Formats: sequence, structure tokens, C-alpha cells
Amino acid sequence: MATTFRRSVAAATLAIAAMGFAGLGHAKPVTDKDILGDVESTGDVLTYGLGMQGQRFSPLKLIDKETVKGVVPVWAFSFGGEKQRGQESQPLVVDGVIYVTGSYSRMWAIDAKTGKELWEYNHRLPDGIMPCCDVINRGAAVYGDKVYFGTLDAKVVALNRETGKVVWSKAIEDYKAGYSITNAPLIVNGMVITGIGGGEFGIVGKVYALDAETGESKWTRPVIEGNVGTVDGKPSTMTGTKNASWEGDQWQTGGGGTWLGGTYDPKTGLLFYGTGNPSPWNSWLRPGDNLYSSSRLAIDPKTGEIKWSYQTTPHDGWDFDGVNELISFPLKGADGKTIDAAATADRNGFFFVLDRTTGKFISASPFVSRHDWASGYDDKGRPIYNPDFRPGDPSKGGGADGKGKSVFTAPSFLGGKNWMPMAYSQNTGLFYIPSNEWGMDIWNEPITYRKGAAYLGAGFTIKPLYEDHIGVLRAMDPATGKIKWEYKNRAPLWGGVLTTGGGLVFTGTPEGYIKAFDDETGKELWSFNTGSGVVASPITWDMDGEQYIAVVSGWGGAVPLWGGDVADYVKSFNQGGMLWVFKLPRKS
Amino acid sequence: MPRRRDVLKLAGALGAGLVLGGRSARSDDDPVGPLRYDTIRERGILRIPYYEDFAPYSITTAEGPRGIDIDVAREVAKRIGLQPHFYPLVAGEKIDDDLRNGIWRGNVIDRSVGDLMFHVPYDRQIQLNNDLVVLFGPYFEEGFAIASNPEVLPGGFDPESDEGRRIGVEIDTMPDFWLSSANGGRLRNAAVHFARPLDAVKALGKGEVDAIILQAAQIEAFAPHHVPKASVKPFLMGGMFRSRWTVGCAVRETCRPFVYEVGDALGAMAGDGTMARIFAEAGVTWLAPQR
Repeated sequence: MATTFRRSVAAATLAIAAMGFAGLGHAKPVTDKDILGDVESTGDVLTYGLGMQGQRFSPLKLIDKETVKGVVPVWAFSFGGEKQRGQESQPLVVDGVIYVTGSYSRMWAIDAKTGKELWEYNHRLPDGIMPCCDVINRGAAVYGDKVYFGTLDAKVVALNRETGKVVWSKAIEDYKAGYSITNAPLIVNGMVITGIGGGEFGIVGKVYALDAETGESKWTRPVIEGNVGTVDGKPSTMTGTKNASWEGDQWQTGGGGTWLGGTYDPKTGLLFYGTGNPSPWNSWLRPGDNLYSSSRLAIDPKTGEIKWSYQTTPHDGWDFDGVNELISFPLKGADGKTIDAAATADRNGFFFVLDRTTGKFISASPFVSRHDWASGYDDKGRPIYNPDFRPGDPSKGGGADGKGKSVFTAPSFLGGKNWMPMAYSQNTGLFYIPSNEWGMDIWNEPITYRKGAAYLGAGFTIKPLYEDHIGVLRAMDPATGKIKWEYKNRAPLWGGVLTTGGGLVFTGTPEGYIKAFDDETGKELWSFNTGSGVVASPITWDMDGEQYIAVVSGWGGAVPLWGGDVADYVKSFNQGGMLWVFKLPRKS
Repeated sequence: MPRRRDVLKLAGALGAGLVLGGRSARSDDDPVGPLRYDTIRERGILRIPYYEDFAPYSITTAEGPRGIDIDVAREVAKRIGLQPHFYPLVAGEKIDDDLRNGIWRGNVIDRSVGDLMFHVPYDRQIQLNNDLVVLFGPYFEEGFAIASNPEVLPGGFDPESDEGRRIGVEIDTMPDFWLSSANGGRLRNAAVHFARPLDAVKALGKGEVDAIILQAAQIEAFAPHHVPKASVKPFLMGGMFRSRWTVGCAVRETCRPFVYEVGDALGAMAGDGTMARIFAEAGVTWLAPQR
């Protein structure tokens, strides 16, 4: 009986899906040219970041500072099931179809006008996956007739855009070793390019380029010196110089996860990837800069070779995991000349501006109120460390129970800014940074237990710095390093930012709101309660002469898992899984 | 009492119903979610998570789970009158993850959850950090051992003079930490890191390293097959480096009656020689737990 019932439901779903496509006609293939023109083509959103450079800027201005107060929801779509948590995805909009990913490696195609589901893909996850920081996914990529995303079991999956059926599926690493993919892939020159996340044990971060048609490996590039990359499956060149900044064989397991993915700059033809913290956590065990952990790398997409690197936290001892996105933009100098620059707001609390052609350091300015571990950067781009704020060497003692000396330092390991992408406005020339004000007690601990045996450990306890707020949305002037305005939020900010030609900055809050701010003053102009925390990145596009805004709602991510004292405040937030779409009411 | 049982049965049925539409749960027909002691007794099934790549303690083979912990668990289940159902658990970064995924919250993907866990360090700090579980029933004492190549190191490994030697360790273990930091880090370059203990033993057999420092049971179980000539000694690091620890069991806080039943069974197995026999069959010396 139950089986019959389920069968008939499945048949009905198929029939509905078929009808949906009959109405839409054949999907138009997405080309490299379409992808490169994503910023200008306002009728679609073809890339994670609303353009390959990741500026998250749309020139649309139908919704502006005057009209935004009238914005209302058009439809909402529930992801369904019991898997209501951790929605960090940015949707794509292609030919009137929205492609959105959800937690637990799921994807939906939805009619952008009506909110009707066209298909759902539910990836069959093995039970042995160990995602470190919730079961999230950050978004998909489109190319040709396919839509791509990475899964928690470290696969890249290509689906047919019309049917949601698997065209190819390729494991790029072994999930049993702790690898997983949560980042949105990039499409460059017919290749799907992705980073990878991994547990803290014995991995080396890599960037992977796969043939978009077949899933075959084109190249891989390990990000830790001494490891050798591949081209077409065969060993290629070594990353950096073996043992230049690592001792012994530690580089073989040196960390540097590329879990947040990257951006691409068509002007210089370079991929930009951030790399995570070095392993092990206890920095006293690995003297040296530990290249290229906690760095930004420029990679040639044709060859997989590293063109330049800049390390934001040499010899990272705070889990400052420097994966943050590097966004290309034109920097206007005092002399009126424009430099091809790029900016990144690091977990370590500093906002960096680099020359994106060469990687040359231009400036580093704090974007949070405390940055105890370093007073600033010298003119070569090296941090000026404050040694009192590095957690103590446990073999020298100083802490309780054989622990190393504990220090309280800000920012915490969850970062002045974590994964959530900032935005750059071509209108104001400002960056809008979703930042957090928190510190941590951190110590190196001789003992933790893993698999029933004694291992090396580290301890953290996160604490807010202020009573009334943790999250602060800040407008940063990249030319001066000055903060132009800020907006404080009680809970930590964990969602991405969008800025528009209409002079607006959009972002979400864990309290459940999607909000719009004046891009020049930071004044809150509009908000809407989505019913669950917003920890995803909003998008905008136009359709039939109207401007639409969309954002995914669904509380989760790393804060409730790792947040220490902060978790107590956020534990009452309800989980969810909804895509919300907004616009102005049609004039009659 | 019967009323509460009915409610529990209903909860179990609801839980099972919810997964019908999805793929089947890993642990066969088990209801989803943590069960209370009464329900476990009523069903007669004891769900036991184990580490699947952790020989000689536990490992998945073509014939099912095998190893010292599996044998101990089967014997305990028999003595307390329950049918053991084993399922593999992927080790997290900390024991706290395993307690959460293994016995109190359950697997984040298919929601399977166990009732009794073996091979949990019997440690006050772990108990304080994990108040939803009860640690109990220490059943053996584990520590580290060193196996060295007697032709290269006839007098054994001397940390004061052997910094030019190659010493295999499992990554991020206590011996790794010790080599990387003791004597001001002088032995750091001697450390050769292996992701799996068995690979370290094989490397010693092939002469790729001069000595290995691993858990004593791993050396005792693997060395005779791969490096029969190796000289094996306990390895004590001293100071802050923990060299020995006690291993026991854990149950969900809501299943406290097992603390006494399982604890009594383990005590009897230590007393009647069963425990020593199970370890000996795996080639490992059983060391009684120090309380």
C-alpha cells in the first residue's frame, strides 16, 4: 500500500516536471562569453559572486533608496524534508530558471516567475562523511547544458540543467580521509575549478581543474610547498621549494585547505584562491612561515602554475585560516591613476589591498576594533607580531594541567570575517564587509583523544567583545583604509553581501532578517523577517522589466557548532530551508 | 510504566516512518534516534558503533567486524543477554565528536545511533566535557611502544644521540608531538609521518625507517608479521607527554543501568581470564586497568 502510494506520488512529480519544461522550451547553452559578461547582463546570475571577479555588484537600480521600502515577497520555496539547517547557498538565475543548492548536498531547479519546482537532485551521501563545519553548500555553477556543484563526500557532480539527471559525477578525493566540498565551483575556459575542505589531519589543500564536459582531471595544484601538482593526471611541477619554510616532512601533511573556492579575473587571466591554516595547530611544532598556508595564490588556469602568492598570516598560530575571497577592483591612487588591484578581508582582522598583476602588497588596514596578535603590517607586507598574544608552547608549560600558556586574543578563530563574502560597489568604490567582534581564549594542549588514543590538541573558547553586538557591517574605503560607516547587529553576521546600482547594500542576519542599507550612510532602509536565520548570499536580477531580489533562509553553519558563549545567545534561533524572492508591487 | 513504554514504541514507529521515503538507514531495521534503556531491553538489541579501520581493536572485514573490541563487545552482550548489532563509526577529530555521532545525537546523515561504545578513554576531563554520556567500565591500559631495527640501533633508540635517525610515527599522536618539540625540537627532522600505523610498521620492515613509536597493541599485533626481528620496548616520554591511559566504555546518560550491568560483565571477564585470552588471541598483552 505504502509503496503504491509513493510510486504514484513519484509519477505525479515527474509529470509536473515534464509539464514545467514543456512550458519553458529547450535550455539555451551557457557560453564562456555569457559567463564573462555576467556583471553587465542583469537578466541572469550565471556565477557565484555576480561576476567572475566576485564583486557582488549589480548595476540594477529599479529598486533604489526611495523605492526599497515598498519591496514585498513574490513567492517562497521550501526545501522540504527534515534537513532544515545550514543554508549558505547563493542561487543562480538562467533563462527564467533558478538553480539553488541546499544543505546535505541537494539542488533544485525552480521556475523564477512562479516558484514552481522543476526538479530536485538529492545526492546520495555515504554515512561516513565528517563535515567539520555543518552540512552546508555555497552554490552551483552553470555551463553549456549542465549545472555543477560539489558535495559533502568530495565529489563534483554535473547535472543536466533540464532534467536534473546526473551527466557525470567524480570523486576528487576520498571523503573517508575527511575531505568534503562546500564551495561553489568556477567555470573558466571550459573547465570546472574547485577547492576542497578537509579535516585537520594530514591533508594538503589543492585546487582542482576538471574538464566541464567529461569530469576528467585537467590539472591539480597543491598549495603547500614541496608537494607536486598534476597535468592530465601526470605529475607536473613542485609547489614552491621543498623545506624552504617547513622542517622535516611536515609539508606532506601541512594543511592549507582551499575550502572557500576562488575568484577569476579576466583582465589578468588569473585565478585567485585563498588557503587555510597550516597543520598542526600548535605553531611551536612547525617553525618557519609554512608556505603557502594562510595565503592568497594567483594561479594560471591554463597550466595550474602559481604566478604569485601573498601570505596574510605567516606561521599562523591562531587558526586564522586565510581562505577569504580576493575581489578584483580598480584602485584609484592619490595621483589619479588607476591600479589593477584586488582586496581581501582576512580572518585575522586586516583588510588587504594587493596589486593583482604581481601580488605586490599595497596596504593592510584593520576592519575590526581589536587585532591583538599584530599591531599592523610593515611596508613589505609582513605582520608586526605581538608575541604576548601567541598561545604558549605547551612543552614550556605555564598553563594549568600541563597546557601551554592560555592567551585571550581577538579576533577569534572564527575570524574578523569568516566565509561570508563581502561586496564592492562600482558606484561608491567602497567594500562592504560583514565582520564580527569576538575574541578567544586559546591554548595549546598536550592531550586530546582521538580514536581512543592520546593525541595533540588545542583548546579554544570564543567570547564576544561587547555586550550589545558581535556582528558589524562595515563600509571600507580601499584607498584610505578608513571605515566610512558601520551597522551593528546583536548576533554574529554570517551571510554574504550584495550591492546595487540603486545605491543599496543587502545582507541577512541570524535573527532572520534580510535588510537593505543606504550604501553611503549605512542607514537601514528596509527589512523583512524570513522566519529563520539568513546566513546565505543575496542576489538580484531583472525579468519582464522588474527587479527581483532573492535570498536563502535557514540558520546553521559553524556558529552554533563552535561559538562558545556565543552559541548560548543563538541557540533559540530556529532552523529552516527556504528560498525567498522579492520585488516591488506591479503598478496597476 | 507500561504507558511510558507505549509512548516510546510510538516514538520509535514515528521515527521509522519518517525514513521510509528516504534511503534505508545503515543499521538495518533499527529505529531512528537514541533509545532509552527500557526500549533497548524490550527490543533485545544492543547497537554498538566501532572504528572500522583500527586494527587490532576493530576492523571491517569481508566476514564482518573483527578485533579485540569486537570480541569484548560480543562477550559483554552475551553476558547481559542482548543481541549485538555492530556498525562502523568514522573517527572525528576529537573523542567528543565520536561520543556525539556514536551514542547521543547519532549520525548527521542517516541518523543511526549506537547504545554502548567501547574504546573510550576513561578520563575525567572527557567526562566533564560530555555530560550527555557516562564514561565507565575501564577494561584495559594502553600506552606507547617503540620497535627498532636491532641492526641499525643495537642499543635501542637514544634521544640524546640519535637525532640523525628516521623514526616513524602516526601523524599528530603523542610521539609525533614529542619528537617535534622535545629537546628544543632537535628531533623534529627525525620524525617520519604516517597516516596509518600499519604503514609505519611496513616501512620499518623495509628498512625505510630505523624505529617506530606507536600504540603498544599496534606494534605487538603487526610487528611479528612485518618485522619479526624488531626489538620492542614500552616507550615512556615523561613530563607532560602522556604515555599511558586507561580505556573503557560509554553509554548515553539515559541508559545508566548499563553502567552496572556492563561494568559487572567486564569485571567478571577480567577475573575469569576471558579478557587476557581475547587480547592474547590478537597477539596483544592485556594490561589490567589502573583505577
